[in-house]
Amino acid sequence: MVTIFRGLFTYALLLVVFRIAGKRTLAQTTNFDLVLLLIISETTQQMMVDNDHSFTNGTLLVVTLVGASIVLSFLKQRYKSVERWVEGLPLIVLENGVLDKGRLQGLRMDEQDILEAARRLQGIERLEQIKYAVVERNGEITVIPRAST
Amino acid sequence: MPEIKRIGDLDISQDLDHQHRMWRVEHVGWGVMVLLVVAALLGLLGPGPLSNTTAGEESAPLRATYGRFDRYKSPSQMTVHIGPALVHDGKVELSINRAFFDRVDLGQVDPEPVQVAAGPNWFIYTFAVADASAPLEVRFHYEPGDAGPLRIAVAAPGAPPIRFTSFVYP
Repeated sequence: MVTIFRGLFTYALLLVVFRIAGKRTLAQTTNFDLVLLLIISETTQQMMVDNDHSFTNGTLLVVTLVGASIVLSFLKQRYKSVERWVEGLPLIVLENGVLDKGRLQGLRMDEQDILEAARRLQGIERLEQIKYAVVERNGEITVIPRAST
Repeated sequence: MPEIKRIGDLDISQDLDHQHRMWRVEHVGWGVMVLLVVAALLGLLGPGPLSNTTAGEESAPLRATYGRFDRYKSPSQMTVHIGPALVHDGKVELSINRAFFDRVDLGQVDPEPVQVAAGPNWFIYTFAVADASAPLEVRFHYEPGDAGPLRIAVAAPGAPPIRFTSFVYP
């Protein structure tokens, strides 16, 4: 009983904390972020498991966490607002070579992030060669180049 | 699925109103996280300056220093201050309510008692006192085993009992 509550609470806590941390936190994983994720996973593991290292407790936790994930996916499919709040929405941050600095600031991103994605994904050299840059729901940047004339 | 609209040449589910609401919620969330950290530093979520307190008058022969806020299975400590007036024949008797022991995992008691007697409602500890003119401090180290209010009562012959509550966070 307690195990299930611990699992559900941890699931909800991580969902809320990572959601309010913003898209940038999810997508731009640096080496240090990776270390941070490992520390968070260790902390939450202790929070959920406590001193009960039994097979039964482990099985219950796995079932609870996967079950919560399945329920959330049903809710996202059924209710638009749940999907909007949990997954977020894509956002256009550059249109026809012109950056929307307000939106980038809101996402805690800058010109460098767009240029880096443009170079990496499309081999683009300059901002004016980009038609659209979109920050997707998972925080990744999609770059659509202008048609070459 | 969120509604997909045509913006320029893109079919996309962008919604600026929702995005601004999301950012406002994010900012409120950051505020809550800061408040949690500040509360923890102040001792409102466990040991800290606002948590440490004393039950009983400063001049009373029996006082207890404890944490107002404890955490589940986190090491904690209660110090009972016993005045010389409570020492009889080189010994002092200290009674603590049994409910306290039912809800904690008791660790070391410092100094060690010479005798412990268990009653239906109280555990009676007897300590040997080397210097009957000096106050004695007894430390109970424990880990709360349950979340919620932890009610503690401490009594000694010759002094009014003291009762206090520590809140244990899950």
